[in-house]
Amino acid sequence: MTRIEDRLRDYYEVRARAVEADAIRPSVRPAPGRSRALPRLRTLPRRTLVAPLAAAAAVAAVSITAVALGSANHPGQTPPSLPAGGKSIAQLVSAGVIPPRFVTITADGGSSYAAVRSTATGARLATIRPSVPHGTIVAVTGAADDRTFVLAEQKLPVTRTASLNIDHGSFFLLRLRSDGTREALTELPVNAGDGVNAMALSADGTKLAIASRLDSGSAELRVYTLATGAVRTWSAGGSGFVGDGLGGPDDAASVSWAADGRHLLFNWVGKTTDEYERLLDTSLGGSSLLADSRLVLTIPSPVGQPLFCQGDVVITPDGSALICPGLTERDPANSNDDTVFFREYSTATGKAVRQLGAWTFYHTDQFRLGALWTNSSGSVIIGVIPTPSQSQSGPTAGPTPDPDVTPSPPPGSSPRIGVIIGGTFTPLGLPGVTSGVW
Amino acid sequence: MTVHSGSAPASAEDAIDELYRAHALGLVRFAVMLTGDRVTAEDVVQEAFIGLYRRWDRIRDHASVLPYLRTAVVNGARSAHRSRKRAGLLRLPAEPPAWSAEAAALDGEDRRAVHAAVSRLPRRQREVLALKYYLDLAEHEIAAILRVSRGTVSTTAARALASLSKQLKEES
Repeated sequence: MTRIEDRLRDYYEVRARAVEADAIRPSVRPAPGRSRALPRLRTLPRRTLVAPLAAAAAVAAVSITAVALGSANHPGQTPPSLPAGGKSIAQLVSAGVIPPRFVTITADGGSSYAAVRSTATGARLATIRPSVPHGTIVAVTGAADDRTFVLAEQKLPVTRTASLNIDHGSFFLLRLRSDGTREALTELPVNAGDGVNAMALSADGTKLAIASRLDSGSAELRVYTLATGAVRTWSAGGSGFVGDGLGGPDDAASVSWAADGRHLLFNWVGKTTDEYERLLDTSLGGSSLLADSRLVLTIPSPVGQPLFCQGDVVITPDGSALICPGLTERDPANSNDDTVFFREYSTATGKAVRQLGAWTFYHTDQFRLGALWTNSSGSVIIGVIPTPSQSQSGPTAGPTPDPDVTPSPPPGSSPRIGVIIGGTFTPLGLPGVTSGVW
Repeated sequence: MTVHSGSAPASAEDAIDELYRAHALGLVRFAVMLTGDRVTAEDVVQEAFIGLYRRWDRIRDHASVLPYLRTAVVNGARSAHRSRKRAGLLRLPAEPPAWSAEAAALDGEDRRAVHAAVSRLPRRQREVLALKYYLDLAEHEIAAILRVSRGTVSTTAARALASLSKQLKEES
């Protein structure tokens, strides 16, 4: 026994004793008929690019009336006045620079509902409630036309568990009118089974990709053609899996489509929990998730180095680049501030192309970070970052240096959604809204 | 942990409740070592038991459930950590909150230094150390829980100790 081993045992023993027996929660059993975990509230970012909606409307209507949907306007929120690229958020929406509406999921006691909101004002345009009293809308993904979304519903209450999966979920296609109110809500013929942990709707709304972790330990990525119900499956054995995209309201898009409806980016967590971004051409043959996909990017997490591709990652619609948020942690001896940044990486080379902006925020162990939407070139991003301090740095071309920002001390890191153009972050001004699918 | 056939509970629910009473505390403590915070640790353990409900009928040897639960805790901790990471909750806390019971327990500079050093290790190394030095498991048992080879366990543990020695020596 070495001294370091003694110190370890002492540390573990003392730390374990801090967890007292009388404070452990009582046991929880699954609901009758449902033996699997109870999920947290979840949403998924959507992919981008305007493209025609095609066969989605042909999906057989199974349960239009099963999910109650109402409309309610709440105009009390005023549009933000800060400029983004010289324009206000409302002007950006009017000019078609950013989508006019988005869908967010809100917890409501033990349940949850989805709301369609105006990007410019935050006004709620429609509400989609679960089809059963204790059901939960647990995830949403969207096409690129601002009017087509898929909602995942689970007929279980929301409780706080470590679960990251949807089990026995139902999937609904939501079509909106031009004013954001409901046009149609149809249950999709998708029987995804248990263990769903990520999903993404293609830009044209015709294909739904669903990733699952199976009981066997293997992972599957399935692509459903919504018009026909046809499904293709890619699978991988071992203990790796497609990254969980369903762990929280701002959690990651682990699966995302390029606008061509062929290329599917997915986050892969390997056996050693190393992470990778991989690109699958779904138009080609094969059924092996790893052998038939291409490694784009390896995501290291070395101690003391900037962390990149953390939080939500989006692929540009043309499939040429990834927009990755990242983090540079403070040097505790010299600063109270951390730095978040957005970088663009080439899907062809895996190399960083440019830095899209960086912001400091007062150090905290809990914050949200993600790229939620990007335009075709990556020049306009909707993202969520911790409330930044005043200093910002703009985009830089070529090699990506570590963010060079001036620390400033205002505490507080509540997440804010905003538009990033030219390295400037402009908050959308949506109080209480910290996630969304555009 | 053993469910004796002679005094077997009347149902799977009873059996699992009994297992929960017997092992939940130990598993939460173990999960704390992996997740870094108690709330997540309890979530992970609850999830492991829910999984056990689900698989109960397929488990042939109910006497070997504890290794299954430990594996489930390890996997759940990985998922929770990963979810936090992707959601932006990137770090295991370097130190427990100042007001927490855990912080109160970590009195002394030495324990805090060990805590900080352990927190900086790669996840696999933290898992191996917790299994070896907290649960006092043999290498073959750790290998079975982590589903890696015994040699990997040995190598990982050695690297972890070397890293800790280096860190703690540097800090002392």
